[in-house]
Amino acid sequence: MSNYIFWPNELLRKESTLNDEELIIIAIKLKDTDYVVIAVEQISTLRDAVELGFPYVILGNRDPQGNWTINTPSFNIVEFEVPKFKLMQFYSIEPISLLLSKNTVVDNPNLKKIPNIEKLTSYERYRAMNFKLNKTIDIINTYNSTLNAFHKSYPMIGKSKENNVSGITLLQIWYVSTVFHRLVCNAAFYATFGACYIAYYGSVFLRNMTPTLLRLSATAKQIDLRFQQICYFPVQFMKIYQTKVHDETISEYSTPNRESSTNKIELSCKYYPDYIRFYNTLWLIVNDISFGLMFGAVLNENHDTIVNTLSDVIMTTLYDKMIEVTHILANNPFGIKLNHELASFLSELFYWIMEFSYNSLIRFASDKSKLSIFLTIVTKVSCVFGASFGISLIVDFFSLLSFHIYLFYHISCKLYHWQLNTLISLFYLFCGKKRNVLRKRIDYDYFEIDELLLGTLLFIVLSFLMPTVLSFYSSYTLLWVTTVYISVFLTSIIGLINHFPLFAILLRIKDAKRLPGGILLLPKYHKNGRVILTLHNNPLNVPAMFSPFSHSMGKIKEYYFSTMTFKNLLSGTSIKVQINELYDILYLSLPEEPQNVSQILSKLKKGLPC
Amino acid sequence: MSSEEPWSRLLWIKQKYPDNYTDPDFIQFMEKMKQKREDPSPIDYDFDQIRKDSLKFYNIFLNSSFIYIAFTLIYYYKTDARYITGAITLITMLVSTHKNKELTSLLNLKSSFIIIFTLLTLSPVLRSLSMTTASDSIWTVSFWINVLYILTCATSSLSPSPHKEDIKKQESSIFYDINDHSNNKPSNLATNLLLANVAILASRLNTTTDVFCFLLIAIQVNIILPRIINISHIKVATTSSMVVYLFIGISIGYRITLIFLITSVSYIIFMPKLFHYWQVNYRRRDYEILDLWDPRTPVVDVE
Repeated sequence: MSNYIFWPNELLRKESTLNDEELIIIAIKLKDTDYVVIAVEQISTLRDAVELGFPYVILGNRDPQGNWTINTPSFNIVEFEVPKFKLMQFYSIEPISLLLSKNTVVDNPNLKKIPNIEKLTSYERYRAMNFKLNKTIDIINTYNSTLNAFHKSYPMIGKSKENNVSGITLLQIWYVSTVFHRLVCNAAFYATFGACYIAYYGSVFLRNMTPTLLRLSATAKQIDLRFQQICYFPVQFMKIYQTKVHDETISEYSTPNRESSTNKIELSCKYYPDYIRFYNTLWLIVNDISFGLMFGAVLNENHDTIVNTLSDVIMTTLYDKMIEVTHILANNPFGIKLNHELASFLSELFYWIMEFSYNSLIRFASDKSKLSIFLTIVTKVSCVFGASFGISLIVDFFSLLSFHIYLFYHISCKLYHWQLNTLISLFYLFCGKKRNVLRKRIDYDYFEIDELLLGTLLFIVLSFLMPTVLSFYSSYTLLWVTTVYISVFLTSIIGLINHFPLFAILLRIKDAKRLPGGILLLPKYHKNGRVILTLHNNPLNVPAMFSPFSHSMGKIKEYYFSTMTFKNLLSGTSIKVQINELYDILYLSLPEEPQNVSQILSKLKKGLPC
Repeated sequence: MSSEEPWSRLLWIKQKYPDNYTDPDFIQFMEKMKQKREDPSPIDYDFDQIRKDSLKFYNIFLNSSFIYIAFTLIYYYKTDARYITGAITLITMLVSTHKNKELTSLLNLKSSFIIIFTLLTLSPVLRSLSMTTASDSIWTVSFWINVLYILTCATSSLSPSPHKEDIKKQESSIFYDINDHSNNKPSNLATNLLLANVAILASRLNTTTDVFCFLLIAIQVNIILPRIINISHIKVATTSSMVVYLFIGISIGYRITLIFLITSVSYIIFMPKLFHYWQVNYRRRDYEILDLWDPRTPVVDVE
């Protein structure tokens, strides 16, 4: 197997400046990595130096004529641009995940082991035994700290880059030492402390005291989501802070105990997505509030018009039209002659529900002064807390108002489902068959005359009543499905506001190297009959950035626009707005349980300047 | 021990033979098949059996027309349904007391109670059921259900041909042996189709009493009596033919009755001969290996 030599571009440039001198190449090579060139020096500098110890090796040399001699028998050269770790650039073999995977050991210590998966992974074929590239990439990612460590061990070889302390940095250092800074830090800490406590107990209250409300109301769900995000902020912040601490310690280490340091680097790469998530959430919250301000302004400006229109719309669509539809159904719709007795009974029942919901709800909702108060509340909430809260209030208001449609749908759906199932069983009886529960199949059976008589008469009666039930069911289902689609549309807007990968997109535009989605090796040129490769960063592609959102859209499609939905409608299985399921995706970037704030805050307190 | 168990040609039985086991008799069997295919031996079709089957079909037809006779009497001629029901019930009672003590056993008592109460409960519901449907559509539905009934009844009662001794035994008496369940039960589907037809027709009647009586008559004439008496017996067949033709004669006219009579007589005489001729001369004979396999699908328990 040939060796790979990773050669940073900056050393190539350095080499070209030292044209007529004899040079040696120093590289670092750990147990399971390839060579990474860390220094190209004049041969004179090494003369006084002691022997180079592990992991550093002299890889080769160059004579004054410019001919290279490499000490390894077969090799390939890969050139790379050193990633600026301070700017958070790095290479990654796997695309970085913008979601919080629930199965990471950090978040879920009681990781469930699936035996089949374990068996599969233990199979030799699926086990990649060669982690050479991963480890080499880790070295490349921390190239500068590795270089610093090298210079510390061998100060005589080369010089570490001089830190040019600029004016701004000096100002920074001065600022950090002032009392003012401490005050600001403390104030920020206690503000966070307060917010986190409120959020934590609010979330616990919502989850434990009112789980039903959380399941039914979009607003409660939205409040819970926001609380969760606030609770998770300190954790994310700690993780990002930790990586910075590591960054400093790496440069300090002198003995090349590589194993532990690589782990630390790996940690820093691992928590990098947290950085993206943290700022994404912050951005989205700010964005949400700015949208909310716009939304609130629009609502405020057209307050009277909206109130008037809404009042009319609620009155006509939710009350007058419903009465009309029920009336038509009771009186032979489209000339289809339904069973008069059943139709009139059902329409009486629905009239009664309608009157009840009118007296208890719609009358107040369509009242202009009350509607105006509601609209003012929505305006203010969306201005203060964000558009998502305003919209979720509207969703709740709508689902409350359309409750009687749900009742119609539910009653007719139950009737239809029950009747359809009975008809199917009776049809088996009609054919002289019977469901065999043990064998899970339909078997022939011989029935007595009384059984047959009862079954057949019921079958005839039910099949004559079926068109009536079917017409009621189909019309109310149509109405209900319309309301469900409206709710789902509004909920997906909330989802968009809550989960748009805004920060990731901005990062991608600003500096694609900060959003690695894999690496790319491209041939560059031939040198002495040898192909030189270059290492490139393959930025995360757009579909991957939108994967949480498209996942959510896929779920919506599966629930409301699939053949399964159609089948459920046909068989009379109840269809509901699955707010919980739609929101699930929003929780993907959060841990499952609310974080215990007090522990995290005490840790955070240690970081305060005193 | 177990290996001495003969291999059987059944897929769903777990046998101690390997999957690709080939029976040593297989070649012999194939040879026999080949021979049969090349030189089929003439089969002696039983003309008597064909004649009896076609007569049975005719009798089923006659029997089903009793429904329409009863319906016309009640619906069109406005006859008091109670008298007809009483008469029919009397006949049924007489026949069953004549028949066997077992019939009045507790089980039958229970069953008849259930029947009566079901009819009483559902009669008012049935009466108002098809109020909004036009009569013509009811007649059409009834006609097609009746066609289906006759076909299913015929196929289910004709296909498993009983042994000749049984037939001879049955022929000798008007009544079936009540303990013999082999032949006198029509399929469930046929009974259900008949009941559906009756129920749909009954929904046209004006009063609840009429509905109840009509259902009772139809059940007695078409379901209970054919189980007790052999409708293929010459006396029963003649009686029912006479009743049917008399009714057609009175209600529609003698010319049409004459046409019916000629058609049915020619059916009884010529149809069996024609069929026998077709069987002997034109019927294709298949000798397939798969014929020997049980056609039922095996059931694999999937957890």
